[in-house]
Amino acid sequence: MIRVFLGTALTGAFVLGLGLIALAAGGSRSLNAYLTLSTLLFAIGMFGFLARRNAISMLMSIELMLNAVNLSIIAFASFAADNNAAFRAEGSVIALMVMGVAAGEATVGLSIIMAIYRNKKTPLVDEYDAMSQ
Amino acid sequence: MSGLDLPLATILGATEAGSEGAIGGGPWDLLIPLIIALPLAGFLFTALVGRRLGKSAHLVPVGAIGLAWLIGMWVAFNALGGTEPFGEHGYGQTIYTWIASGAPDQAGAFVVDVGFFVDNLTACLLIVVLTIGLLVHVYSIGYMSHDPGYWRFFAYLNLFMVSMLLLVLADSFLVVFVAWELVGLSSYLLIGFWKHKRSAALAAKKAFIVNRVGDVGFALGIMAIFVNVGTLNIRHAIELLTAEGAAASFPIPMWIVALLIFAGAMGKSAQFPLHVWLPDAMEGPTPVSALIHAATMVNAGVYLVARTNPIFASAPDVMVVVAAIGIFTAILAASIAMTQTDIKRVLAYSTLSQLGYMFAALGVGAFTAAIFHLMTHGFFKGLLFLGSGSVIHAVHEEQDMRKMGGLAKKIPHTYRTMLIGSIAIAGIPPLAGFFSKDEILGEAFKLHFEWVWAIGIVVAVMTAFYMFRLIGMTFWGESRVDPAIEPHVHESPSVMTTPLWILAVPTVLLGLVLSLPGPPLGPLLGLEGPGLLHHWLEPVFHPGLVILGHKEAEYQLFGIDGALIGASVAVATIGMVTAWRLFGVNLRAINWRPDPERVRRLTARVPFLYRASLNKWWFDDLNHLLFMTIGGRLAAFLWWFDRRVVDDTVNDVAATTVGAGRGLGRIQTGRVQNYALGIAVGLIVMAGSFLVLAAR
Amino acid sequence: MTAADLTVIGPLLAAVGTAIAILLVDLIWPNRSTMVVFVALLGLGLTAAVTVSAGSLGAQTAFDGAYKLDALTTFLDLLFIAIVAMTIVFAPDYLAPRNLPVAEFAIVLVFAMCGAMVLAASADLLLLFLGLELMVLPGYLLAGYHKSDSFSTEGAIKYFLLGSFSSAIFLFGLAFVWGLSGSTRISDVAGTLSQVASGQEPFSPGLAMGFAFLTTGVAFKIAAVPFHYWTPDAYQGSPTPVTGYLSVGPKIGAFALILRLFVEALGPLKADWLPVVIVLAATTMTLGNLVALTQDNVKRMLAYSSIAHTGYMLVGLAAYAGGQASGLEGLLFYGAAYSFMNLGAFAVIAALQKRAGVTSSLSTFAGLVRREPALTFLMTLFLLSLTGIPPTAGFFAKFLLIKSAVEAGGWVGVLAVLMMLNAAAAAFYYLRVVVYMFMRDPVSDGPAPRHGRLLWGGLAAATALTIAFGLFPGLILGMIENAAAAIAPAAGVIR
Repeated sequence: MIRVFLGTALTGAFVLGLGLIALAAGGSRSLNAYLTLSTLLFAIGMFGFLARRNAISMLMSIELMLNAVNLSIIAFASFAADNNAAFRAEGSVIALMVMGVAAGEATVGLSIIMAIYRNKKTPLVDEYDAMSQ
Repeated sequence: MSGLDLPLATILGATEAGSEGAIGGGPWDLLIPLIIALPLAGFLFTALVGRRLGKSAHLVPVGAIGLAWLIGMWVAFNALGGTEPFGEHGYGQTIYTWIASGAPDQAGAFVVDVGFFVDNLTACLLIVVLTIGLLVHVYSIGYMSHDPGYWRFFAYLNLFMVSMLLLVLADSFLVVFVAWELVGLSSYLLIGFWKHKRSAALAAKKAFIVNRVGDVGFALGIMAIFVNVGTLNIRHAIELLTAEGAAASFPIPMWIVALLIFAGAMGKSAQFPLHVWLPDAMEGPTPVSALIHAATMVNAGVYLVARTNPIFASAPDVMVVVAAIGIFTAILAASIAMTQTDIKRVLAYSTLSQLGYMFAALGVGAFTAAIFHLMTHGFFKGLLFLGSGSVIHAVHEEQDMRKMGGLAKKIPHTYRTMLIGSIAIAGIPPLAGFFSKDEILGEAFKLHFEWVWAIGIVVAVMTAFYMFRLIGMTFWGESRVDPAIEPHVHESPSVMTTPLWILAVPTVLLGLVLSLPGPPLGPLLGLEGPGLLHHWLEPVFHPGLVILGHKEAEYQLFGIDGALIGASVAVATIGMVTAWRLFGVNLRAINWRPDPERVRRLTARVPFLYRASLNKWWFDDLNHLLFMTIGGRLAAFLWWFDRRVVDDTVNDVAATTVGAGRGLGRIQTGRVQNYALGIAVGLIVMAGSFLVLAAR
Repeated sequence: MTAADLTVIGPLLAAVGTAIAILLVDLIWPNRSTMVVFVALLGLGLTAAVTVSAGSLGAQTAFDGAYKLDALTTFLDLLFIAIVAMTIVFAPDYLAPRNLPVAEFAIVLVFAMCGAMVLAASADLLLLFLGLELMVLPGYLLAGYHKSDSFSTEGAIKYFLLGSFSSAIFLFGLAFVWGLSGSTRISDVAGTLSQVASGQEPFSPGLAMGFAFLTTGVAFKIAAVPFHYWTPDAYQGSPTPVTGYLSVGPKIGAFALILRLFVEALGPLKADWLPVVIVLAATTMTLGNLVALTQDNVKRMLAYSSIAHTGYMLVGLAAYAGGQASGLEGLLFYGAAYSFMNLGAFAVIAALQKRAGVTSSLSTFAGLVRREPALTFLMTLFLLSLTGIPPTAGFFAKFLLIKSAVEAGGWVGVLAVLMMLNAAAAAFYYLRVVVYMFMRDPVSDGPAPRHGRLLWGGLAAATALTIAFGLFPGLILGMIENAAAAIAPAAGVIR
């Protein structure tokens, strides 16, 4: 059930996103379109994080969210006025930095997932509930 | 980083000039805090490493008190001598500002300074507290030498000294209150020192609880003062409270403030009806009884009332209450002391009675007389308690006087010093007690509190009686000591008897010294002017006396004053001789045998009074009745009411709280997805609220 | 980069150097925990010295204004150094019996401190984010430091997943605020936003969204309700010294983030975020205390209580936004006081757990006074301070916060009343531990383990600071005034 729902949502989001990009490529280059797309991507990432039970998938969802952020950053930078070179450069730098942080997060995350997999013999996070209330 | 060098300056820096505009305290800024710091260091040291020191654990604490005594005497005599910066009105020193919000003197400001204040009243107390404290420390080296808790005892003693010194030196009501609680705590620890003894533990608890009643009053009084004038500095608050015409604007009337402070004093100084804890407090080791429950802590209430004398002076009705409660406690306790057989209990009731005298003096407006009696009483009662400790020690921890008798020859030092103490407390001239007690009675009469005087005279008879009854039963006549112990009765070591002899000196001379060159002996010797103590304390009590409007009556040695002296000496002699008649005497010229038959006949003649006295006027039974029987019935009813009405409400509130906690805890499911969902929902709510805020 | 820049980042360089030095020491002489602790303390001492001397030069910036060294940076840096030093001192007694290496623990901890120092010094949104990540990533590792223990790893993965999730949210908000205000420099952002505040520019929905995402991310990091879920599990699962660190280090770090971001960058719009902070503070302290009432595990109880303390600290922020700049001073004082008393409490728990297998449940504390009188008295002191009983640091900290909140008035004044009610409720569960320690009969009567000298030294320091800040608040109030004045020049004089 969740999978069906998830699949529908993902497909819908992609269709919408592709449509927006097509709209953008079609001539009226619009910052808002990119921002909408990035928001959607972010929402999909969030949805993935909420819906998936596998720790690795959740990690992937987080990566998706970070990519959505990067998309919006690049969009902000490339739609800046031409005379604002500093702002454009900043955008690229931030995007690179975010990628670096994402890589660091993935490393730390994978090592923790490995450790708990050894202890619990399962990657499913809803079985990690020894502590509650 | 200018912030970094700030703190030291704020801690050690600011000194505040005394009220007379003295400039800078010089070495005093260091010396005064040292008086407290030394015992504090002794306490910390002994508490931390004392256990390992074994029989040498006393060295540091006693040394600390010794040094503190030297410094304290230096400070006290400079203050009394009026050296700069003390001047006439004392010297205040702000150690640091603990809480400072808002500029001082500004509406709504809340400033708490931690500071010390030394004036002549403080100096008098310092002399008493430090001297007796030092001697008790020395005495304890001998008295406690076989106790496994040796180091603990000295640690507690030092803690008590810290608290008591803080109490007399502090210049803020808040700090006084902290010290007030601290002396209560150390008294609790020391009464219950032999904690495996059930009666000691119970007595400690009783003292603590009864004191709490008074403390609540004191705390409320402090709050009332703050509400009225917005400061907690003692001098400043008193100045504002008693300013001309200020009383009308206070939200809390003066008589309530005075009554609340007096409630605190009643608790600590064991005045009726909060007196019940003091006799039980005798469960503590005897040096503790001497130091805390005779010479120092129980005086705290007297000190507090004397310190705040202008507040009381502005509430004359409360003054009458103070006098009435004081003199009533005096006669009540004296009547009980007449029949008790436990040597320490006799002394405990005697202490109650003498404290009653002091409050009576405060109540009639004879503040100086009260402090005079506080000082002389501190020394002779300290002497008597330490002496009784020596007696108890000699007869192997026996406290019942019926199992003593004839000890005079066996423990001569103890006997002689205790005899001196008894003559002093009985009010026989020229020993210390005569001067102070006579001054209280004389002032009461001349200030038209004739009823206080009349009751006081009766108490004087009783005092002389029960003291010589004590001496007679303990030291004179035939020995009734357990034959098994009899051969082992021995005088205490010199580390114990030396403090006794040292205490005997002020017991003999202090009254004379402090009253000269004033009456009663001054005029006789052709000297003029007020007595030394009057001279010292005049600046302290001047504000209160001005408000009261008391006029200094001319002293007529060959008139009313002489008559009063004659009366009190006469009654003291009557009491003394009666005791001799009944319980015997073995002085050089007079050798009377005890007369148990007559005692029996006399008591049979007033059976009610005798039983009342023997049963301490049934106060403990009354308390039992009140709190156990009637209280129990009431409690049973309340329990029912409580269960049906109150409990349900309270339980519902508590259950709702805890239930809410559990309910809220339940959202903590332990599953990451649920947590993430919570965060996501939170995010959506957050986004919604920011959008709404932005759209405003 | 110029030579002047080097002075400004001097403290940071010293901290990195400390971490590398520990690394090298452990490489050359493996498994020498005493030496590691010694080197770490030496390095941290040096770092503190550099921080003080660099701070004494006054406010300066480096890297074209991205990195700022002012009184606030210096104060927070010193606090971080003290926290990390104490944690390193407390750790060996817990780690050694469990065969966990001390060196790696110290290295990861010092690197986390570097992140916190970057965070405290950033004058740039990007640097703020980098500092935050540098601070929390080592935190995830530390939470799972006992990697063969299923509780430790469970706490770590929850902390990690939710932490990364919230980081992404924070970053998304940051991207929007940056994109719409046109610069990453905090001063520029503040400049743009003051135009919004004065009505010259519209408050666009995009900006509002960015705010919402930023606030959510930050609220997660300080564990404000309803973003607190990770706290109890991560705290309970982590090795106890780590819990102690997590409850103060990243929390103070996150509050540094709040000061830089909300007070400096978003300061012009404080009227807009004030209501949100008030609601967050109220829910946070109330929920934290209510749930703490029902806990039987002391570590978990302290976790919920740390949520409540976050709520108290938010009161200071609310008071600031409500017009009482002294609220910031209260917040900073509370942070410093809370750090030491809480670290002290966790150090006592860690010391009790020296024998492996001892849990942190309430029954461990039953009758403790007979087995460990010294630890019992210290624990009592820390708990009394956490309750807020005078004359401890905790009392004075609460006093400052409540006072500024009352002065701010309005809804913030209501918050002050709520805070007092909460403090009263909190007394119940703190004193329950005291009752257990003094009144209950011990469950097990094993011999007390011997504690290292380092532990006693650390506890003595925590005790001294807890008492000193209560008795002589003037010790650090001067520094705190300067620190608060660095970001809020109008900060009122509190003393």
